[in-house]
Amino acid sequence: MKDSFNPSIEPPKKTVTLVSSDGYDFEVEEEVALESQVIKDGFEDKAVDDREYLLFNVHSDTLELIIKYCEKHVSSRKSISAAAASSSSSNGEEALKEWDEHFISVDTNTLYDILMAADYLNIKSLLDLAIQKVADTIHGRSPEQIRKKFNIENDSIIDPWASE
Amino acid sequence: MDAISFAKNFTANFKKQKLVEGNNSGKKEDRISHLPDAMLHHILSFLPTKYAVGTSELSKRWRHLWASVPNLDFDDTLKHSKSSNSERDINNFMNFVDRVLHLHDLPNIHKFSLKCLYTDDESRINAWISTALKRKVQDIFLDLKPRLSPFSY
Repeated sequence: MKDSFNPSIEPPKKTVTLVSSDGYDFEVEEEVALESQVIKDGFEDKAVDDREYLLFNVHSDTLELIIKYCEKHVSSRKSISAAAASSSSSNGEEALKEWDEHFISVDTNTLYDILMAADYLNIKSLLDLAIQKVADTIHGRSPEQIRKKFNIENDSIIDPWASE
Repeated sequence: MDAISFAKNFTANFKKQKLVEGNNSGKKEDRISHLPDAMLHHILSFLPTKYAVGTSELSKRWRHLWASVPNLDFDDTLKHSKSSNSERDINNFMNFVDRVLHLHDLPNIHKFSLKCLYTDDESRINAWISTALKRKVQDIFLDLKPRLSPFSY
């Protein structure tokens, strides 16, 4: 029944295994894994049966989020370009932006985990999204408010900009 | 249970709850300050320079980070006070740009953005732009107050 929604017969999806720092295997579609520039670099040179990546710096909790993000972006890009090809109007870009906004609205600890993982895996759009989120938290706030937000302890003795 | 022991119990429970909360917030560590310098520079490069420099007050860790951010973004519409742009605000802004360009310690500036809708001290604006050019700026954005044409009257 489900097949009737998808008339084109696609070849079986190639997959890649990502292993989190705490030892969990995540089997993801190749194109999803390729969102990471680090995985993309040298991907073709790797034997097909050796497409397993040990991500020593990414915990399974974070990896799950990263995969969710990459899957969403791969599928959105497809539907956006499909809509463009059939010149039908689509608010795909805007919907994706909204999805991103919701995705990155996480507690600060999760945000740092995403930040470090996006940097490690070199997923530029996700890194920019996470960095923008941190920058937004700093933007327009007083030092005291920022310290409170990020639990920063003030160990300064002198204030170099006190005359400001 | 009489009223006093009830009150005691209540306080005890309340304290216990508070303590748990306290423990939780105690666990909240300062992770942002432990991010690598490159990452913090990246974060600060997403901010107008006024706010990037403002982070130098946070702690020792943050004091000099802003000085190695490759992007500078000055905007004289980001005022200190909510009141109208006074002479004093404009002077503060000009002194701020002077000081930042003096203390900024990267030989190369990646992006230089200057928005001056109130500041019209041409010689200083020129000096700022030439400083950016000397530091081999790659992208430069200028939004300056339109000058009255000498022929307009």
